[in-house]
Amino acid sequence: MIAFIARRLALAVPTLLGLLVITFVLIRTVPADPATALAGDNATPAQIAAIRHEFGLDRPLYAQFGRYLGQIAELDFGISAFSGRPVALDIAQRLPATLELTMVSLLLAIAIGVPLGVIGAVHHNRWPDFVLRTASVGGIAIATFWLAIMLQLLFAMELGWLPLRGRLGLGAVAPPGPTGFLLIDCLLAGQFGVFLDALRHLVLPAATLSFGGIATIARFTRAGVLETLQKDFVLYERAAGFGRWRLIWIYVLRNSVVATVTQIGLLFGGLVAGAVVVESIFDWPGIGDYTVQAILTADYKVILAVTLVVGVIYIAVNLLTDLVHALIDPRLRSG
Amino acid sequence: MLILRKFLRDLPAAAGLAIVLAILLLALLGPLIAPHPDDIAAAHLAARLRPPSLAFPFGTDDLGRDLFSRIILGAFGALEVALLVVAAAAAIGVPLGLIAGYTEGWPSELIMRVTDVFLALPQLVLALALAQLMTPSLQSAMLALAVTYWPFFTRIAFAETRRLRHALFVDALMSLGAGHTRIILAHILPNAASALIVRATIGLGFTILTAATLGFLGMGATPPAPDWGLMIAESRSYLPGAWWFALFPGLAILITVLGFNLLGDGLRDIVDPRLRRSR
Amino acid sequence: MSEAPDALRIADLRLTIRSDEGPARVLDHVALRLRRGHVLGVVGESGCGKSTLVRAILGIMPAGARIEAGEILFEGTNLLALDDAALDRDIRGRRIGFIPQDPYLALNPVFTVGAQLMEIMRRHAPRGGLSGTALRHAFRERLVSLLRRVQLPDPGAALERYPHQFSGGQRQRLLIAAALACAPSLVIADEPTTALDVTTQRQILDLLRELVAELELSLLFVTHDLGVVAELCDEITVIYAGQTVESGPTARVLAGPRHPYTRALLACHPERARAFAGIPGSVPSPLAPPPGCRFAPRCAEARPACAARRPALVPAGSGKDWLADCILYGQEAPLGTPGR
Repeated sequence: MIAFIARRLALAVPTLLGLLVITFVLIRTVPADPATALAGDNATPAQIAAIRHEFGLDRPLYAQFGRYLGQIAELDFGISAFSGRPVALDIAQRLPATLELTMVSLLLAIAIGVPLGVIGAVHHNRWPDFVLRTASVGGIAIATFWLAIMLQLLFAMELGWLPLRGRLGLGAVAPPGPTGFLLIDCLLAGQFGVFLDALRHLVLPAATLSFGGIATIARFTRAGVLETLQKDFVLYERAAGFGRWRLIWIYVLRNSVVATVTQIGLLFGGLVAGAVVVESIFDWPGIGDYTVQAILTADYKVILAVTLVVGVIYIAVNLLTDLVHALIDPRLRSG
Repeated sequence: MLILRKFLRDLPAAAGLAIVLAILLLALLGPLIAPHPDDIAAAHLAARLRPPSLAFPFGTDDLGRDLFSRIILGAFGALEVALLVVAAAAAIGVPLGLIAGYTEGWPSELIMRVTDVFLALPQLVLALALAQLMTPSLQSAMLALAVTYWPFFTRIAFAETRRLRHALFVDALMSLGAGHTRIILAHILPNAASALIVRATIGLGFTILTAATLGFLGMGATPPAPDWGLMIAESRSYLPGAWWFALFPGLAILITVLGFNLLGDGLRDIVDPRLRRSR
Repeated sequence: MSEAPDALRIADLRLTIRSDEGPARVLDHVALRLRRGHVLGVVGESGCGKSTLVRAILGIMPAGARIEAGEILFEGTNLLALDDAALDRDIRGRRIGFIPQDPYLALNPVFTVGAQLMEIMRRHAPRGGLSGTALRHAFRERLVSLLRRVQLPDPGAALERYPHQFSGGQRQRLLIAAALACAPSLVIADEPTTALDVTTQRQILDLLRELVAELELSLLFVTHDLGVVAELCDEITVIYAGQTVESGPTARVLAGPRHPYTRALLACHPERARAFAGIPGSVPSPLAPPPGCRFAPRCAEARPACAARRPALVPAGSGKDWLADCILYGQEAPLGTPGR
């Protein structure tokens, strides 16, 4: 098992390197003059020249790349043009908000999607299955930003049940907390009022973000379970008197979820990307919102830094997915 | 003929085909079908933000333009972007995949590693970054989308080519003296085509969705273009009052993407049962 | 003295499976009788309905299958009258054990062998007043001793391993142990040696023979291999195209079979046939079975009346245990004769 983990880690390194190369290539080659791009819209020629020297843009390309790698290693992403603070700091402050949102959305997607998929498979070709399949195909066709606005329209504006935007209501103060995850920090600090407020603010964004995920996970779980149900060992387990409930939810499900786990890995990455839009619409103070602001103000350093961070998260999640695969299916451990 | 009949028995796939054909029709004949074709640009401020009625089935927008007409007129733009992006992505991705699948050794490895890296990156974020770096416009958005979508084609082309290369008929062809290029173009590509067409169909739907998102964020079409994403962005200031302004463009996106997805699934089921996911 | 009910007694069983091409009459008037403590061999070619019969007994029939008529008496209880929950709770895994055909496919690949066996114990084994950790220990002990009994090396460690880490023969032994876990009175073995090589087959058969004697089991052994039946089974029932054609004591039936099909089958057997012989024609499809006796179209001794004959097992030899479903035996006249 350790050997497997080590092998997978080793495979991740080239991908990481590739990510760094691509982001480097992007900033150096795409804008006509990288120095101007990095300096921002209102820079004076003197500032641009200073940037050029500071970034070593007057030096050969490989030296530039080495310098770039060095900066990354020190987590030096430069200063944000619109916030005036180090990008690394901004990201560090905002990352927990995004992670909290995406993780809750992922948990929601799994908690709802998996059972729906199982039910659809078990009631194959009867009405629960048809409803599920229609909803699944529809679910991945919905534009996230549109769903966000529709949910806001219905639940916040018309019905007034849930808050319209933000992570906490006016006047509520987040506990200083160790994790940056409001839900956890509030519970640790015993502040249940703030906890509930944070939870209420989480509902609409998480529901929006998880929607497509529910559809995808339900779809893949259903396919996996259907395939497993054809297998001989299911017939045997029935003959050996395994109870129906345990048979489906434990013995069949474990065999069915390899494809689903792959999807969950991809999904998490997609959620982080989808958070860009959701955070922007709900004024959620995460890195997605940060990215949108950076786009509107043409703050290239931020855009690049966020691309890098999100790319790393993707790679890490893929690694984790492979590990979970090996955990679930012992046959994969030797291969 | 048999294939067509089998396809039509599959209800969701038939529905998908119907939707796609309808959208195609709207795109091509838009100006002829729409009740108020001038509303691509004209403004009638007196009629702004009217709720749905017989005269204006979907209501009017903030400049008094008929939403129904603008949505129909927007179909052309949506399809145009989708087709160009997917075509470009395929033009890049398929040859790379064919080469990677057909050869062995470091060229193949290199191509696939690069593909993996691109797939490891979130498409939307990368597209946003690219589009911004190139000065936001519809063209740069399309380029950005194409550059981030090609890996999907490469992966499929690679898998199909690898699978086919070891098939007996390729060995037979080579022993007959057929050149590599001929084998790839005349024999492997036609066999891989079905999987690629499925991917392209689904890619069209996916691109429409992503392009709409870019439009929403202001990275795509500019006013007064009847871009569906842009319309939804414009509608936000007028909520909750003018709910129709946000609802109908979104429904248009939903139905269109749904159509392409259903069609793609249906194609996948009939064209290559091996790719079949249990429906 | 009242006789204890038979382990298994099936009468007049008719089963149809709905398919896209119409109803498939897979089982037609099947009858069999397995006495307590005996081994009954159920023999037939592939596709004759043996496996469907097994599934019908266990109540796990494929979708679209319906029992049209008949009864399946297990120690006096009609299994067809029980609902699925009752079968699951009381019969399967507890009073009837099942040994499947393919040891490579029968075990769940992502769970340890121990976990799967424990599941059976947890659901069906008597608790003896224990609970919690003590119960788990007791179960584990029983499993270890079972594995030892089926001659699996290193039973304790075996429980922690995954199915793919065992050979075919070892997996079959595991499955035998699983079938016996809760001390059933009847064991149904569905071609348990077909997927194994000849040497392993021998070992498994020997093991089964020992276990039947030691545990006083009734064993229903389904197979297409007459050689195995000759060795292991006390009685034999021959099935052709979903109909029971002959049944009786193995030694006598194989020495001098009464039904034309059984005779033809034996004549083809590699140990008997001098030339490579087959039976002309092919097995009818259950979608369009011949009327009356289904073997008639291929039978050398067929008469016109065979097509109108209603299936009925009649005495065919010495003793009332030897039955054959053939117009050549018994006093039964076919339907349509005046006065009947």
